[in-house]
Amino acid sequence: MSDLFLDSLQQALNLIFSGNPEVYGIVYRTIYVTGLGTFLACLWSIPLAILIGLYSFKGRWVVRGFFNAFIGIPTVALGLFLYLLFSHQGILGSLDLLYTLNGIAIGQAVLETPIIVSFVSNALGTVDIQLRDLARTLGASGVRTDLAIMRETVWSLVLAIAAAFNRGFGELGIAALVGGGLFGMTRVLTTAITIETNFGHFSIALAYGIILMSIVLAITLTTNLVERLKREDFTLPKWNIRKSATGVHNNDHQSSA
Amino acid sequence: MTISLQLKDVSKNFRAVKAVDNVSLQLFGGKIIVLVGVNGAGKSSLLRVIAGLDKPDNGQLLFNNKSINDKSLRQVATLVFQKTVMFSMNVYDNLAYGLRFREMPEKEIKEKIDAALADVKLSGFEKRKAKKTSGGEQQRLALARAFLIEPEVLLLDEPTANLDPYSATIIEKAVLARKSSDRIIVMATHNLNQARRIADQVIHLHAGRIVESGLRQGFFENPKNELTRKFINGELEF
Amino acid sequence: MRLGVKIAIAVVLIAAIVASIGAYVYIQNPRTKVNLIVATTTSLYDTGLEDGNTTTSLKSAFEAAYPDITVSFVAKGTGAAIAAAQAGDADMLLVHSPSQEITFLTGGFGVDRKIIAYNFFIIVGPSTDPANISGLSPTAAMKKIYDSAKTNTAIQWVARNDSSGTATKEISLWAKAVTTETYASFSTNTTWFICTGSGMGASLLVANQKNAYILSDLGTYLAHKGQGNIPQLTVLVQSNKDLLNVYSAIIDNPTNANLNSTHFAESLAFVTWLVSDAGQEIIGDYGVSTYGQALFNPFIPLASGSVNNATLLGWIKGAAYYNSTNQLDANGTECPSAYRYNATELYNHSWDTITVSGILQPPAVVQIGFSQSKVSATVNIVVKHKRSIDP
Repeated sequence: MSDLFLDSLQQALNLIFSGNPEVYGIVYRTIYVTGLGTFLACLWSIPLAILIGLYSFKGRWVVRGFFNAFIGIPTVALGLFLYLLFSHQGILGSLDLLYTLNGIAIGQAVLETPIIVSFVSNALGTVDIQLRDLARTLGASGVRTDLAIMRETVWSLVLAIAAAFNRGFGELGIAALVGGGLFGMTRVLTTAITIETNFGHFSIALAYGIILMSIVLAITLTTNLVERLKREDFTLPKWNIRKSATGVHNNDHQSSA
Repeated sequence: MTISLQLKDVSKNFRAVKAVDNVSLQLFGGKIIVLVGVNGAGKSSLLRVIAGLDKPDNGQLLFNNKSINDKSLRQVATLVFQKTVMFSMNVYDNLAYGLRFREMPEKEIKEKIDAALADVKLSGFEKRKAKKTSGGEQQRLALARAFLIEPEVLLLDEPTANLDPYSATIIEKAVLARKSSDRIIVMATHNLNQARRIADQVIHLHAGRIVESGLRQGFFENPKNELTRKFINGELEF
Repeated sequence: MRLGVKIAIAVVLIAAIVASIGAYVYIQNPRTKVNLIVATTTSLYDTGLEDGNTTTSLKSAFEAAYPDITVSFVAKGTGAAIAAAQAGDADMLLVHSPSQEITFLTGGFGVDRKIIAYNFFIIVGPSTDPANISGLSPTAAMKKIYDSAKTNTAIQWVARNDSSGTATKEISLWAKAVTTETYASFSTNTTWFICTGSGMGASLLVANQKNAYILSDLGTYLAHKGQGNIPQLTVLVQSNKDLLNVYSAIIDNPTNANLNSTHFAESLAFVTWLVSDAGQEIIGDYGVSTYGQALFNPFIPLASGSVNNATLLGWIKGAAYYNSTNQLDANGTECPSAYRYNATELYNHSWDTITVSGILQPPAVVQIGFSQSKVSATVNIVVKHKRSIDP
């Protein structure tokens, strides 16, 4: 088993640095598809999140619960539903989205919507209610007020988007059922793993898995790091203590938490 | 031209409680009007209605004899809250907030902020994280922020409650300095001495209604209403 | 407004990045070519014959010969593949389930069926062979497994049970082997019978793990065996008439109103290539260098007689030819004329006889061929059967 893992690790490095166009194609395609999907998801999820998070209306708790529940929808179920929708026999068949990258992107946008809506609306709900009145009393219009509140939790927003992206990046059901894993056309990392597994090429499959998780890890760590730096109660430790002209240490900064 | 703000039979309910109960009053520029009353009397609620933050359930507001709705009211009135609220930005950006979307050029904004900070004795605080300043400093900043947008109606909800005497003095001085015929200033306070110091007109609110209203001297020396007398003597609990 | 400007810039930046990646991806796969979509079964796909390898696969060879066509394979279970073709989501089928294929034809969904290749299923199992089935005929072997499994807990059987071609074959074999109990009964109520509902590769892995017997197609078995994934399994029963596995291609019927967006011409080009010398050679060579033996046997050499094995040919015809009443019949044809469309070239071989007893079945479209040598033959047909012939 350790042989398999080491072999896979080596395969992963081989794949990355071999300059194999198929591998690069698969990686680029995955980034494109999930990037597009996340972008689309944000377009409608953020306004929705503002609506749910900042405006109360009858039955808001039901809507909230609905989105919370769908965070964990099995991708294979969603993939099947979309397959039936996009099939030529389905309602949206004339859009020719089946077995295309854009079809997968739309599917992933749907997948990621509950994540963004739930996380962002929850984050907005934690903002001090008085802040809304503050913005209003300073003369801000409705939209400006919402933006001011969003600005207070902007890093929650970024983390939510990163989480949504990661979910889409690693999902299989939609990529498989809507995309079809067509060689050189709609094959992405997850379907590549499945197909290589079916071929029996376990090391290569695992290698694709390592590549996938490395990208997800890189994104997560980067966004978390930047968020930490920007957090209002966190400042970088001064690497060298500067003395001012009068010989007094500049002690405005606190050390990191 | 002296500006005026009039309330006609204004009421505001919060869940079956009449927070503002049929209030009619006339406010004029050039004066400082002080609202007094026990806790829960409705001072904050009344201030919020005047600020346009809450829409009255009944009644009408008139600004310079013209009917005005809450949205337009918010453009001319501003309320400084009892518990200060700061954006998660530095001091400069907090102060600049109201000016930026009024599309003032950055240069002008900087000049004004410098002046405002000097006014409340907080020069040099621009880069500090606003939420990390002390209570007194925050309240002074909130005041500076309100002054900067030059509101025609300046409303203050117990601005010096729980503040150190230094900050309190600065704030009182700054408010007094802002008296002018084109500005209405209304302040709520618990501190009767403060009222005696700065008020031109005093209004006693109780259970959402105006119980007594008068010029400062007459109000304190000769209150007409029994409740008011009790209140001034510190005998009124709630 | 500063925040708004920042947001706008961020949005534009992200959109630009995504768009440029999209453009790069698009350039790699320009849509100027026709994208032919072949619905195929996982067991066929997983051997890698279709597009698993960039040098020995059907895809690479075909696209080299036809640069204007991209052929893509969507692999599913036979049932799902047929459903995809019926819905028009695929342009053609490449499957191995004659009983389901005839339904596809008679339902009006498919035309121009051609048998491409054949091989044999095998029964594999643990090398210890606790049921002692090595060398037996498949039905005898399965009967023995059925009988001994009740007493010997070491004996287990893994089935796919996923309406695939392999599963269909397996169920028919069980029906012949065990007559005292129904398949539905012993496949569900027993501890020795394991249903995976999964593809061939996955099921082989289960069999390997449990040291069980399983019916497998040769290609998938060799592929996994070669990778070292199924060390416990070995071939025990093979090369029997009952184990014949016949692969056919069927094109979506372009005259079907629901399927008129499919690519008939390109599908026909692909099928024609598959049965050409070039295609048949690719099929016949596949696997030799990797596994030491061919995974598939090309059908055309056998059908034309250049490979001489009348018995085997007879088996295949019996397993995959249909007569005029659409029943399996060795005296029939691989594609009844009612379901031939615009494909004279496909069926103008000397061994392709349309034995239609009597009248052409409507809606028959008999194309008059244009090749000189065939004019007389087609004229005869016209003369003899003067009935509803489209000019």
